Amino acid sequence: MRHDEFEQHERAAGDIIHAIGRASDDVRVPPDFRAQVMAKAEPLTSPRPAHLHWRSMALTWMSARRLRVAMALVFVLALGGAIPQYATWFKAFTAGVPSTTLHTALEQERLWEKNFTCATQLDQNSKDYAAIAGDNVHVVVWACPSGDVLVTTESPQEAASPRSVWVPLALSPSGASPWLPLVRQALAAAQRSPAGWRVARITQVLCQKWLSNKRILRRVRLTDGSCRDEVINTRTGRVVQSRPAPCNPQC
Amino acid sequence: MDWNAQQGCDDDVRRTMASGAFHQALETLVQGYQQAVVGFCVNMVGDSHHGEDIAQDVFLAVYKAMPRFRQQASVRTWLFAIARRQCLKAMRDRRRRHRLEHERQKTIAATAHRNIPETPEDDPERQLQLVKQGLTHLGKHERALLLMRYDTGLLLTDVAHILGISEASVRRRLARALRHLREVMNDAA
Repeated sequence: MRHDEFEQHERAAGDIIHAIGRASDDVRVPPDFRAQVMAKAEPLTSPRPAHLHWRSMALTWMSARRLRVAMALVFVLALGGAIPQYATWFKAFTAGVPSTTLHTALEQERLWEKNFTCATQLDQNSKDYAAIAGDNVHVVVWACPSGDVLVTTESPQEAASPRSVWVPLALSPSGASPWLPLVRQALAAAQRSPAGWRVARITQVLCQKWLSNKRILRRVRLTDGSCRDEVINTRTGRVVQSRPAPCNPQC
Repeated sequence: MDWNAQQGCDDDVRRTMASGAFHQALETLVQGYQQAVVGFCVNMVGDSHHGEDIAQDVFLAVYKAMPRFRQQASVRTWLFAIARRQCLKAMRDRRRRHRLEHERQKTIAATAHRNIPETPEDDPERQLQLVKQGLTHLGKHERALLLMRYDTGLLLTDVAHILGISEASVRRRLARALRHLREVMNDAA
C-alpha cells in the first residue's frame, strides 16, 4: 500500500487512532511492580556470556518467517528426494538381502517365477542340459525355451550350499551378462579347494513347488542315483536346506 | 514518556548493557517502560491482573536476552518485540483464554446493560471505552499491531522489523485492522 493511501486511511480513522493512543493511560501500574520484577530477576542465573550468543543467534536467525519457510522447503525436498532410497532399504529388509544386491535378488526371483515350469523339467538326457564335472567345481547348465539359462555351481567351499543362478537372455547394455561374476566367483572358490574332490551332480529334477517367502522346494536326482530335497532361496539362488529324499516325483 | 526521556532511558540501558551490568540495565528499563509495557499487555489480554503478570514475564525475558541484544534495533523496538511475543504466547494457553473470554463477555454484557448516561457523541471517554471494547473483538495479531503502532508509538519501520515484513505490508495490515475495528465498533453501537 502506498504511503499516501495509508495516510488517507489514518486520517479517516483519526478518532480511533487517538483513542488507541490513550488506551494505556488509565492502566495503573502497581507501586511495587519494579520491586517485584527485580526480586524475580535476583535468583535467576546471570544472562549467558556473549561468547555463547552464537547459539542464540542461530535461533534468532531461524525465527524469521521467510527463513523458516525456506528451511521447511529444503527439509521437504531433502526428505522427498530420499524417499526412493528409503523404499529400497525397506524392500531389501523385507526381502532379506543387502540393499546393494536388491535389484539382482528381485531379478532372480522374477526369473524363477518366469521359468518355473522349465526348471521342473531339468533332465541330463535333454539337449538343453550341459554339465562340467571338474576336479574342483561342478557346473550344471540348463537352458529354457525362454532363452534364460539356469546355472548351478557346486564347489567344496560351497558343498553345503550350492548356488543356482539364472542368466537371463537379455544382456546388460555393455553386452556382458551381469550374472557372470557370480559364476566366476564360484569357480574362483573352487580353484582353491583340495584336489580330487568329487560330489554327485544333479541329473534330473523330479518335482518342484513354491514355498512361502519366495522359496522353492525341488527334488533332484544325482549322478550316484540318490535323490535329495533342496529348498532354494530364489533371491540369492542359495540352497538353504538339503536332505535326502525318496526318488519319486511327489514333493 | 516523552521522546527525550525515552531516548535518555534507551541510551542508559545500552550503556549499562554494554558494560555487562545487566541487573542495573533491567532496573533502568523497568523504571522507564513499566507503564507502557503493562498498558500494552493489559490491553492485549483484556485483564489487568493477567496483563501485569505477563508484563513481569516480559521484563524477565528481556533480562535473559540482554547479552544477545545486537544493537541493530532500538531498545524500545526490541522490548516491544519481546512483549508482543510474550502476550501471544500467554494467549495461546487455551484454558486461560476461555476463562478470560468468558469474563470479558460478562464484562461486556454488564457494561451493555449498565445505565450509561447520555453523553455527546464526541465524548473522548466514551470513544475510548468503545475502542477498548472493539479491540477485544479483534484477532490477537490485529490487536497487537494497532497497540504497537498507536499505543506504544512505534514507528512503521520498527513494527516492520518486529514482524519481519515490509513497511508496505505493515501499512496494508494496519489499514485493514483499522477498518475492521471501525466495523466492530459500529456493530456494537
